[in-house]
Amino acid sequence: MLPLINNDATPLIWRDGHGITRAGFIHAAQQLAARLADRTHVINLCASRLGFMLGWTAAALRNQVTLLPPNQTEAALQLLQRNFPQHSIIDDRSLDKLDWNSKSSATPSIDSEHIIATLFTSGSTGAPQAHAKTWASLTRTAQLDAQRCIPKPINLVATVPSQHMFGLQTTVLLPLLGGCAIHDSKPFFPADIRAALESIPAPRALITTPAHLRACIAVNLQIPEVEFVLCATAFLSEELARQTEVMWRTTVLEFYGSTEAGAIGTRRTTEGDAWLLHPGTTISKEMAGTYYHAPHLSAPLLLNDQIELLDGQQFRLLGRDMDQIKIAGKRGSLNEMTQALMNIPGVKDGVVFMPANAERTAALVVAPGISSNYILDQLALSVDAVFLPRPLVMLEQLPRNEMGKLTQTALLQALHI
Amino acid sequence: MPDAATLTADELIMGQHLVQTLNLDGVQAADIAPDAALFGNHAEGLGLDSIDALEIALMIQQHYGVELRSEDKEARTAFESLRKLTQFVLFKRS
Repeated sequence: MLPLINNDATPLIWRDGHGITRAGFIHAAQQLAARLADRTHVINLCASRLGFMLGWTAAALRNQVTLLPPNQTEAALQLLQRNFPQHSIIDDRSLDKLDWNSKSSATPSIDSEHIIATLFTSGSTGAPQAHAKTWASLTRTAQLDAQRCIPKPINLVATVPSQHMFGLQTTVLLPLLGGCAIHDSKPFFPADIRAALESIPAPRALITTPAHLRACIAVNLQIPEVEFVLCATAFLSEELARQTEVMWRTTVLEFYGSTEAGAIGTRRTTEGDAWLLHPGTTISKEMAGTYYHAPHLSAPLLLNDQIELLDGQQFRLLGRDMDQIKIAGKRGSLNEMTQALMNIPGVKDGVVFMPANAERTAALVVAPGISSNYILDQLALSVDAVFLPRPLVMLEQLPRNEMGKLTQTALLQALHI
Repeated sequence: MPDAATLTADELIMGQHLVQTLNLDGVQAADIAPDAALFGNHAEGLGLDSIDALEIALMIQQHYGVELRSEDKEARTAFESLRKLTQFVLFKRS
């Protein structure tokens, strides 16, 4: 058995300027658990941190598995609902009339090998892939993250959703198990981030993405002091990290990880390209590829990236397999996207690729008599929005060389004609 | 009253900012339907997403000096169409 929450005297969530206590939270989670329908699975759509954590804990108390969709689109939800007919849905309205001002002295715990959640990753196309997590594995992940990033109790503001792995680790597990309290909201615009940080006491930290950071720095956003900024989900440039450190007099840390592993390593972006492995974990080079070994993984995990080992504790990323890209926290395959493009009736030839230094994919398409908007809408049926190509250029033929190949130079030239 | 399907001068300028900010190659600001949904659908609207929303917020602050906040009830509807976005920004600036 393992506790679902560290039941100490520190606050868990900051909401409307007040700290919600852990004892109050447990009391409310027990009420919500009693209300849950007798099902096997729960789909947790809460946007508020309080709602998500209450739903998460209530489902665990009833031995129900929390399902986390790859995104919040109608299509992703419908697929989950079809595949798991024995489910109920929790959203922020489920919190009505819950009381978190009374206290419970109990510390709820569950069987450590219980599957507490299944996360889904969509990849670029096709059926979502399921990743089941036991409470023991998530508890160990949280302990490693906390050891590496949280040297002392700290108050968090996070812009990322709780429903994917990075969000789950930082906005749910760190508060529940890792000595943090988190602001209830999920701020989006720079001014929202400032307001959330202003409403919580020091010491503070910000969990965010390169896209949000860029928006904050571009408007010269002034915020209260933050001990560190923790960033993940897409490529963060050293330049942006440096500007952030200077403007906010802080430290910018990056997470490297995956849905399968959780976090693998961290680095301070301005200190160079060496990543520090989480404590107690190792990387090994084998014939079949590079493997990550960690106490929370039941078997060594094959990593998708090309990695150079520097010493037992540090490694360097040598760039991803050219086919694999990562945008807004989602990994996708350019080959699969090209295949989806070619599958659209009327498309004679086409390619999806990633121009150097671009934030989005681009596409070249040969499809006489069909509009680019039609193609984009067709593509959107199977490809996540963040991967939809922009620009999408219609051509009479692709710039294939005599071998039939498309070089990066030829692709870029065709894009700018 | 502006014609329902024609852009006002302010809407045209906002449309030009959008095309430039979001690298909407192949889109002419003058051809954007003023009431079409900015997000989601390409056939009728521009098919934008949340990364674009941050870029638009940045552009609006830099060009119009208007800061977007989620708490602001009007800001929630501002992203529905080019017309609503323009009206929101002009209202906030006045």
